[in-house]
Amino acid sequence: MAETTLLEIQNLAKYFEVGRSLFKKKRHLYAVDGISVYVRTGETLALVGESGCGKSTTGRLILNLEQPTGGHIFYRGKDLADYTAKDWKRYRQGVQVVFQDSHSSLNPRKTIRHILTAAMFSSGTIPRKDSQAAEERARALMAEVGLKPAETFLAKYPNELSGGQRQRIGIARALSTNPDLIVADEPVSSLDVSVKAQVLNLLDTLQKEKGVAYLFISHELSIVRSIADRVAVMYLGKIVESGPVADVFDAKVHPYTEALISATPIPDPDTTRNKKRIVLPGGVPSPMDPPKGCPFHPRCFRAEAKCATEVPPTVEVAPGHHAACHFAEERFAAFSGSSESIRTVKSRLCSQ
Amino acid sequence: MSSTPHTQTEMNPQARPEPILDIQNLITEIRVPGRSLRPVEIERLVVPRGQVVGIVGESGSGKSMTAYSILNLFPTAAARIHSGSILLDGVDMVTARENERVRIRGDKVGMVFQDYAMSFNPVISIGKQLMEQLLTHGRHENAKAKVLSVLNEVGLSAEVFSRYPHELSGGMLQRVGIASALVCDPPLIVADEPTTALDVTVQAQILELLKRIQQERNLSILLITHDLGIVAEICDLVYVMYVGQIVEHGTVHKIFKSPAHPYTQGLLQGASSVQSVGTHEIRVAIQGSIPGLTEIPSGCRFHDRCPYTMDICRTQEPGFYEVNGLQAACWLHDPEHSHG
Amino acid sequence: MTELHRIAYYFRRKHFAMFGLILVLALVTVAILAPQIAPNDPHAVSRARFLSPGEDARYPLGTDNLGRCVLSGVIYGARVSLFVGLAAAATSTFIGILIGSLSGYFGGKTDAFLMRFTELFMTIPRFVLALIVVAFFGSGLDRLILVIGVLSWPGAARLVRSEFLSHRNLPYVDSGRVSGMSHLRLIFVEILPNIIPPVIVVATLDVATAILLEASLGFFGLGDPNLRSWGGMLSQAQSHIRSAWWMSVFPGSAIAVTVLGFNLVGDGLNEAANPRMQIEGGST
Repeated sequence: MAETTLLEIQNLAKYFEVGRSLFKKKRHLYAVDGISVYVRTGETLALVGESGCGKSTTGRLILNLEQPTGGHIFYRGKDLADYTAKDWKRYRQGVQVVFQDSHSSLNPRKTIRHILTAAMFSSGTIPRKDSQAAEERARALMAEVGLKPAETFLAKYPNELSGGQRQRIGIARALSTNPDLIVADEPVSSLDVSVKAQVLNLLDTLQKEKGVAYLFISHELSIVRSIADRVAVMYLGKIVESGPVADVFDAKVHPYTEALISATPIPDPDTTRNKKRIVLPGGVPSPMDPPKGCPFHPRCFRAEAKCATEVPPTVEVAPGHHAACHFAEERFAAFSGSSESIRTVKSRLCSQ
Repeated sequence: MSSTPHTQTEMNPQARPEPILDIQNLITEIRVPGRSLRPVEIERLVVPRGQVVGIVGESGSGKSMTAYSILNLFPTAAARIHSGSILLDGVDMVTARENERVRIRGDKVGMVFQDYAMSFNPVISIGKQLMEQLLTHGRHENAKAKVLSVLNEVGLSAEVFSRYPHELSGGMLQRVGIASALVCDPPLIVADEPTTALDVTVQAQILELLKRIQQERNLSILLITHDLGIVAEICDLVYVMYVGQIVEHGTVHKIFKSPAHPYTQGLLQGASSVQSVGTHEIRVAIQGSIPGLTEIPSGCRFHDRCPYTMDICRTQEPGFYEVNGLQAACWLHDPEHSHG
Repeated sequence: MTELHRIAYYFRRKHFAMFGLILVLALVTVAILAPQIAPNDPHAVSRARFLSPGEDARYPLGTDNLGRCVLSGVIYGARVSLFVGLAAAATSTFIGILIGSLSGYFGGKTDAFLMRFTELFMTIPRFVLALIVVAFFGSGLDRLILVIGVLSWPGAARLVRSEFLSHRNLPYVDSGRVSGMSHLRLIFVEILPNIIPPVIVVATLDVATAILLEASLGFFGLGDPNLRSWGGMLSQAQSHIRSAWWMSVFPGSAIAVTVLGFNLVGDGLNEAANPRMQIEGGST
């Protein structure tokens, strides 16, 4: 791994116990089932997938809001399991969060000023006695997230703000501790189209200015496409494909990635009506009873007999581009073959 | 306000001249402590027979209240239709008596909701709930056979008939929701964000289903959504709503190719730039956010967010102007005020 | 602020709630201004015994068996009742918040233990225990308040617990955890202010219950002997109920009106806080 790796997770797993009672056998919900992924300094890794794929649980594990059943999380090279109180303090400042629901993610009974300064004080970014420094920092943050005049906004309560403004406050709160990683769990999903673009622009600008890395959790592929450097596609608690965003979105090595991309409507009548659409049968199986073999095989259009029995290995089809499919190499070859031919055609045209 | 004549019906010559739904001068009001708010003020909205019409808007645009107004059935007693007419297959839902409206809902129009889970009684089996609808509309004969055939039509097996809502997945429930809208064979379906709560792969299934049923039955669909991708996918005509009013309408191709209203332009640019590959480019965004009903701006309701605001926009509401086959309510297209 | 507006709006429209509020405010005024309003010293014994109302202009509501002014007794009794009611409700709400918040916030084993403890308290017959405690330790106002407060907290505790259960995993609490906020800070600084409105509703209703309990204890002769209270007046009226009806009717009505007032206000606040519960008639 490159030395710029900020956060690395290895074989991370989280099983929830469900339905345990006097009369029922206890069962497990396999929310996250052995995933490995890393985030580099200053980059955006997107975790995409449908509801119940474990992407939010992964975020909560990283934020230490849930305890993993297995596996390791390394932040700046040190395993969270070996953390001392001092390490935790650093982690609290270094790793922050932006939630989806801007309404419930801000305490309705507190002013924006309290919300921002409480995060600085609790994380130890600014000592509690230095309220002057906290106030200055709060004002600076308001300017950074584009809420002016700072004084007016700091005195307001969350319900006096619009959804987009609240989400800016959520971002300001995350920034208040000077983090180098922000876990953003569906940060723009509840926002309107016009506001969505504003907030995404803000996230991009802040990344450029501060070099903060994002773990961007989303179900909206169209957004991921424009904001992420790398992407990891999750299905039933596993990562089925990961790699640089352009590679994954173009090559679509895993059949699930291909189906997901083809299912997303494009806001252009000509393109969206003429593109090839893969409509998957059924819904996502229950994470309490995941299919044997490849978790995607019951819905897969490419599935063969061995998919139902053998768990596909994760293979590296191109540098940094991984996929967990029995036919990964074959599908990648087909793709690069076709793009190869396009390239040759193009070069021929050019030479002519 | 002057309005140029509407021309949608001319595009489908086979259709009967009279549209399935014709809304005129509709004002819906909500009475809240101390005042009355108007979430819907629609001058004209027409759904021709056999077409899919989309109402697109952000939250707070009044699109869902429009759906409730069509049924003249509101989730809160504080809301009611203030004035206007809603001709549903020739019957005015505003002046019709309540017992007549009950008959019309279901017979003439079926409704598909976003929260499919909330629209079913959890302790009654799916089949019974669908049959109940047929019975309330006086169709006692072969009710069970009818329900089974509708379930089959939406791609559900006959065993779903005896299942309970909690036993079904979200996608299956939304299919049942569509079956329930179809069971009385209405000519019009009003679908309010039918796929918003669904996963993208399931959304694709539901959109395919709507398209297929629309063609097979020659249904008219009024689809209410915030998702421009879905509009591009299945709509023939589009109405763009902003703070309770229609700001632009026309055919889907024209709206997407050359939108005439600055709001539509902003929406489309925002959506397509969010879509684009090539990372970290600055996305085109409309500044500010949609105002609440208590703070509706004077003049054109979009003027404080519009990049082209002129003096007249701040004081006077624009009427509709025809621009390249689209109808847009914007002063920019008034020959006296446009700068060319 | 908007919440206050909503409550004000609601109270203006719901005449019952408004009526309750007026009763409570009137009572509070009477209690505060008792020395100014009362025509006589409530404890002053006189020879004018068993005067019926109207018989002597100096005693508008008559006198009792010791010749004490009934009206002055009722007026001063309001002080005792309100003080005991408010103080006891404050005590029970305080204990309820403490137990309920810990239980709801931590959940799991803490919750299981605290809730069994709470249920234990709910099964104890309050009145009987209050009788025993007062009989053993004497009946000063402070002890009355403590006994009533300590016996009335389970309702508040269960409410606070359920509110904490619904708040403890909300994103705003999670983001506090991410920033390393301590449990105590999360419970008392972040979450607690959010659940104050429903707690006030329960506390208001608790005031009514406490007043009733205090009156009952007084009726059994276990009130503070140095103060005239409504319960105590009723107790003395017992043996004269046929001959001097005014001795029981006025303090009895005072209790009824007070309890009614607090209940109406509590219900009003409850409905104002949960507007979805109200189904208003309106044209469709």
